Amino acid sequence: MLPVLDTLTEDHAAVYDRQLRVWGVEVQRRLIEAKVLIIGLGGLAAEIAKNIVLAGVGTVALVDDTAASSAAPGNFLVEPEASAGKSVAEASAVTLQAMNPLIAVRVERGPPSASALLSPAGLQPEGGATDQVGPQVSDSPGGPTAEDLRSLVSRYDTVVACGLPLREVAALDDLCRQLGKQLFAGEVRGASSFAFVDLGPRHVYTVKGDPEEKVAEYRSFREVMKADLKNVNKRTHPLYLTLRACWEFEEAHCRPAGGPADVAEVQAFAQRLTSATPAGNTAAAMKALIPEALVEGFVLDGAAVAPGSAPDQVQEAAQPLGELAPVCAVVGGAVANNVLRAVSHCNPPLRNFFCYSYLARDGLGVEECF
Amino acid sequence: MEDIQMDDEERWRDLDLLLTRPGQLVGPGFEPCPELRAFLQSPDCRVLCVGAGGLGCEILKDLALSGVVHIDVIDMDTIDVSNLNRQFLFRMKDVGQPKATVAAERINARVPGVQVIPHFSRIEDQPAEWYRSFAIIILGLDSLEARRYMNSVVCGFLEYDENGQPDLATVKPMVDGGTEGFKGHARVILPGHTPCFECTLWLFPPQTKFPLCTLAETPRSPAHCIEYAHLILWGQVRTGEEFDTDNEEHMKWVYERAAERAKQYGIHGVTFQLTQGVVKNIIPAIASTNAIISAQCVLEALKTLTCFSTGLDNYMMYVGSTGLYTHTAKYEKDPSCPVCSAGVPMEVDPDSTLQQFIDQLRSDAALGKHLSAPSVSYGAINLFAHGVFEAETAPNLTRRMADLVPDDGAVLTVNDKRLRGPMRVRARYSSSMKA
Repeated sequence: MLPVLDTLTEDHAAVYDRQLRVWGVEVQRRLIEAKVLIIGLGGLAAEIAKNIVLAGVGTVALVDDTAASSAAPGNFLVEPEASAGKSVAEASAVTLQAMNPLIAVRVERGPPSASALLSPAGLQPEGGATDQVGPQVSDSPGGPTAEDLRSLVSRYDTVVACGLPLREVAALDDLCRQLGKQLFAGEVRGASSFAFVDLGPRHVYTVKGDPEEKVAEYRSFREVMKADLKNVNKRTHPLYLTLRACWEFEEAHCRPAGGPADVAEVQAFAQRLTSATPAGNTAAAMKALIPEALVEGFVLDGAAVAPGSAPDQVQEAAQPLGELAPVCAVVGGAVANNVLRAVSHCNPPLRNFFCYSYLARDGLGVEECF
Repeated sequence: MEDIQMDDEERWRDLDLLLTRPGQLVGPGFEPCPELRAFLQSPDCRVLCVGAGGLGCEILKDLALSGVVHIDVIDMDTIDVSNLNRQFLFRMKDVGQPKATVAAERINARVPGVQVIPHFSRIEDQPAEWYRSFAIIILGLDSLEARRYMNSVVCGFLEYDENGQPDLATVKPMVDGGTEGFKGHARVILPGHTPCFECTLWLFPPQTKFPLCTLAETPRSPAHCIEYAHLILWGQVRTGEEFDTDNEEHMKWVYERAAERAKQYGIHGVTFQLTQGVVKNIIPAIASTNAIISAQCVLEALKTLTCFSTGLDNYMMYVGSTGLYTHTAKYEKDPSCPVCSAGVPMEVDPDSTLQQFIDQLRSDAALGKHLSAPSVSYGAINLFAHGVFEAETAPNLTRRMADLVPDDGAVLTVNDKRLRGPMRVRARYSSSMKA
């Protein structure tokens, strides 16, 4: 009987051999013990899910009751022929579980949304379009309540939520911080992609070879969207200000910006923000700091439901748009690596933004900290 | 099952965002238009994925989801249980099946309309002409040797015109990816423009080969003990038996002998896992690195095919162990690269015979080590060829070089069974080279 690695079974050792040689048995054990909740399964989330499932995260739960027939084109986990009558979460779970039978893949009821957490005022947006997106297979007419979502999140350690409106990201982040959970948010939106990480005010981790524990402080999404602009310099990735401009639009209109009619206003917010930074007080500096095409593209290429959409248009636009497969794979790989660092408490995870746009900074992927 | 509409605009909206709009970072000569996607999805745009392993599975997925229709994949391996942590197209029940076949089946089943054709074969077993039929070749390989082979095939298509400029019609683009643990690279090879694989061979650290005396007399590390058991003791004790890395009993034997030796020398760290790693030259691997590097390769392939963005120029390295670090370097071609250059310059006495020229080649310090019995051609003309044309071309051996090849600075092609592909030599006549 050949010697096997300590607490891992022979099956684990055989399948995980190549990655055990990268991060070792102790990290693998911690991954097995981790519980990650994924809300929304578009192309980016599908990539993140694939990577963490293959890495051996012990429990991965999916929430997305959109009908599988309306799954995002980038969600390669949904098998078209075998998914009739299933939700996106159910169809994706089948593939993920088959990819790694050694872990537990679960489906939790609910929409790909955190809108239940928004204040009652926020559920009456302009134009009549609702925040509930896509046809659902759940039988609960009003969708989950804030309490349902709270109870769901409390059963996991880490939440991954892609493609949510920014107010929902903030509300979900508030909930996670209250419950002591980790949050990863992000989106691949045409030319631009971003990821945001919040591991709470005190994330403890170790670095290989150094027994001493280190601590990293993370700020909340809400704080970061309102952070002092004096820290923005001309090297700051323009996506940060773009997100803040979109945030201000959402606060003003109680819905995400989306569609040509919203572009001008978001650009106006962007310009105001830029001019309030130390670097952006001239017209030339403003143009350099935040390319117009970036803001416009971000507003047009995203998942927002355009105001005044007819009911059948709402259905189509419900999927994340602008998700080019290789871009989802790059961002999904980067986010997954950070999820693994966060749940294993090994190595410093991204703090706290990853920005990637081929309209800015020569298309470099950049880490920012706010 | 509804009809598959490959031209369905809604389905390819993401791709059309890139191909039908102008942009800030577009490539030179880019014209946004719907014909670009039509081309990408046409039989004129065949893409070859070399390897259906960690990189290959991801490359195939990204290509298919990005709208490419006509894809071929070649891999000589079968599926192993240790592949399952990253080669996500495979399941436990597929262990033992050919990787190319299963990968193609899965992609074809998942992405409506795509046509992936598998080839369960060695790359050497396909004729060079087959490789020429692809618009672009993407490499997902795991060895230096395989890369050198593909490089020589692709660069072998390259021709130069009279002015020493690469003939664009003969430039076959190739994208190469590689990963190990949290590290990886993606590079674009445009023969004649960017450095080829051979031009930058110096990038690769020398392969670890321990000196025999260290193994035999002064081991210091666990790897020394393992290689002692594997390379020295095995041959001494189990004479005549060929060591088989897949044989559990062989591996166990090496592990136990290595452990004994380690104990004898007070060395710690010999484990069965390390033994396997050292003996099989196992490359540690995780899914996310393969996902990132493969995506980078596919993006570069899409850019090369459509110019929707400026291409990588020309070598990107990625390190993801404690953050996300990438660096892109623009490496230069080696002007005297034997594989892709316009020809290694050689001073030749115009009065020398072809035989003397061949002798000169064989005794050349740099080139001679690649040659045992070379054949020489000038364009389409065989000057001297071993094999079938030997009798016919033998008379040329006593003829004057300047009579056989009147043009000064002509590029001659040298072939040899020890070479992986043709070697180019530019013969410059100089009377000072009197034989």
